[in-house]
Amino acid sequence: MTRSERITIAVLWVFASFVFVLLYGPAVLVATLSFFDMDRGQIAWGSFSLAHYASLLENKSILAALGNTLMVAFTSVAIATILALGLAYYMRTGERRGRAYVEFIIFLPFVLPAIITGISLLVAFREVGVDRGLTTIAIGHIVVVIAIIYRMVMVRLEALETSQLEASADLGATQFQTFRLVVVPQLASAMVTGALLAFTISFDETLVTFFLAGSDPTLPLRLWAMMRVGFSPEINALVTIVLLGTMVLATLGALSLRRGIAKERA
Amino acid sequence: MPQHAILNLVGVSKSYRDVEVLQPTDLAIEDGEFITVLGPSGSGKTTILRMIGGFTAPTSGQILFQGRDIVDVPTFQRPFNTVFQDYALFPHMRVVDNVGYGLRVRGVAKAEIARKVAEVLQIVDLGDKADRFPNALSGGQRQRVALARAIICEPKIVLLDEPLAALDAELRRSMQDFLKDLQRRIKTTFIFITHDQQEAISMADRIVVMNHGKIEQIGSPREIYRRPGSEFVARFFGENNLIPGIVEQNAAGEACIDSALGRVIVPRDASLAVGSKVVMAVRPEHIKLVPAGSTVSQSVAAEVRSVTFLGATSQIALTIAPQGNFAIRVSLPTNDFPSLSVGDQVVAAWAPDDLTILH
Repeated sequence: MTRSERITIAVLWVFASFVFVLLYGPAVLVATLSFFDMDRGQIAWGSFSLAHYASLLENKSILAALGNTLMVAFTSVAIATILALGLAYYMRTGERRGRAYVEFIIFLPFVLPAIITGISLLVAFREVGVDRGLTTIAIGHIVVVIAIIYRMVMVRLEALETSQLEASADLGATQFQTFRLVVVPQLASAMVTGALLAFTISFDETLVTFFLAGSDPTLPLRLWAMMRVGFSPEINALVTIVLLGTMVLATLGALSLRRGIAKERA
Repeated sequence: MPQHAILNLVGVSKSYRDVEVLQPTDLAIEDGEFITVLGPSGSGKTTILRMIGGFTAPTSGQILFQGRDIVDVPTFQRPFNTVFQDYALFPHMRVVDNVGYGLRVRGVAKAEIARKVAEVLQIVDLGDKADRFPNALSGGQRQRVALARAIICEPKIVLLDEPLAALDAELRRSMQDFLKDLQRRIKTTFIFITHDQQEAISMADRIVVMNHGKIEQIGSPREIYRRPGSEFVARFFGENNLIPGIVEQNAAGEACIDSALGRVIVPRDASLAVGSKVVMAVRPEHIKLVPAGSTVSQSVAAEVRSVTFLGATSQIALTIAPQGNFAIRVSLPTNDFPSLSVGDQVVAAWAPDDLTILH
């Protein structure tokens, strides 16, 4: 290795480390702070405890917000997955007129500024006379995440040869049997990946949620409200838990995606 | 309509917008025969197969199965099974589950499925691959899984859409023998689509030659080879010399045609009008070479232009002497003319019966 190569590599290392510190430094700091107390701007290293976690469990308003968030995320992702699957299958199994337009409309909320989506939904709900609450939030989240699940499922469906559907019918399967035995098993990994991605989006969705929330806030809204009065140390514990949960979900998503790709290649 | 026809296409046609891919077509398929539909791509052969299978609806006409119109019967209720060109195996199912799929969707009991799958896998010689997934199999093995899957429900007709197209030459030959043998054993009607005339000749009881969305000729491989019904068939089906001519006279048991080969005598044919233009076909192997100076009634003097050694036979290109620029090809056993070389003067002869008039 020449001298200049060594220098280049050293410089690249510095850059890489800087990026990592920038990305994960704050998270590591928060995780650390969740176990220690602060004393005049310094971490008091002698104060290791799970006290913040304990007080988090006492904080009913935050726990309620977390519960709301999880409930909204699960419901909206489940409903969006079913809708996206049905729509994608319908679009795939024949020459559907206006498919390009329908897909454009589905994708619009995904790229539209969230504030527009939020306000339009708010106005719409008010005109129809629906009171704001967790239901309206969930509907808003469905609108936002359906595109990503649809896309994931569609990519996999496009790769599914038409002859597979024909072979199934040829062998005596009804439309529904074909869907259940041939289509869904081959879409499973795409659906899981799409659902996980959608879940993370729904989990921290703030802007659309802001317009649609009633008296029950989701976690991001609750945290946002707390900013005005300052955070209590149990927030560090909460962030650490959410961070861990997100990492687990992301790993699962990556694994499922990789399994899907491996199957595709084989 | 023959009594023993299992399937009848009556005036079946298919158009996409204003493009007619299949002209109104009649075709009777007999019970238990191995029928091959042969044609170049775009000839409408796959369209016919897809309409029989129920994947494409005909624009007009009837498809009669045992005398009953099945045009409106959906694919999953038709007693036919298909071997697809790309095999269309289900990648998420093991070989056993692929093969047993047809029985499973019909609600057959598990034990019965297992028994029949084992039996069929035995027939296609894949008993030891039952637990593999399709992507762990070779092309030839996938092909046999597709076949096993198609015959397990004991269909009345097996439809095969160019199933050997993706295999290499050697595997093709053995699969051809295997398919033919299987068809005899299970005594089921096979409709086999191909663009390979060699494949059609070696497998079929009857061949349907198609071109430009219509049937050019139907017959046994021998009939079609000996008596091509049109210029297209003569060109597409094996090698042929095509010789244009004009009918000079047509009387007294024979017709006389003035052509590039000189005056040619053919059996009398009422349809040959004096003065009309015709094209005659003669196979390279039906032309004999006789020594120069021989006087044979049906012959023409020629000069050897090239000799191509092909092993057991040699391909010889001849230039017909009086015309100077008209060339014909002759195929001869190599041993018969060991010393033939370019520039030799020869006489090419043929039997009147080996000439086919194309209309």
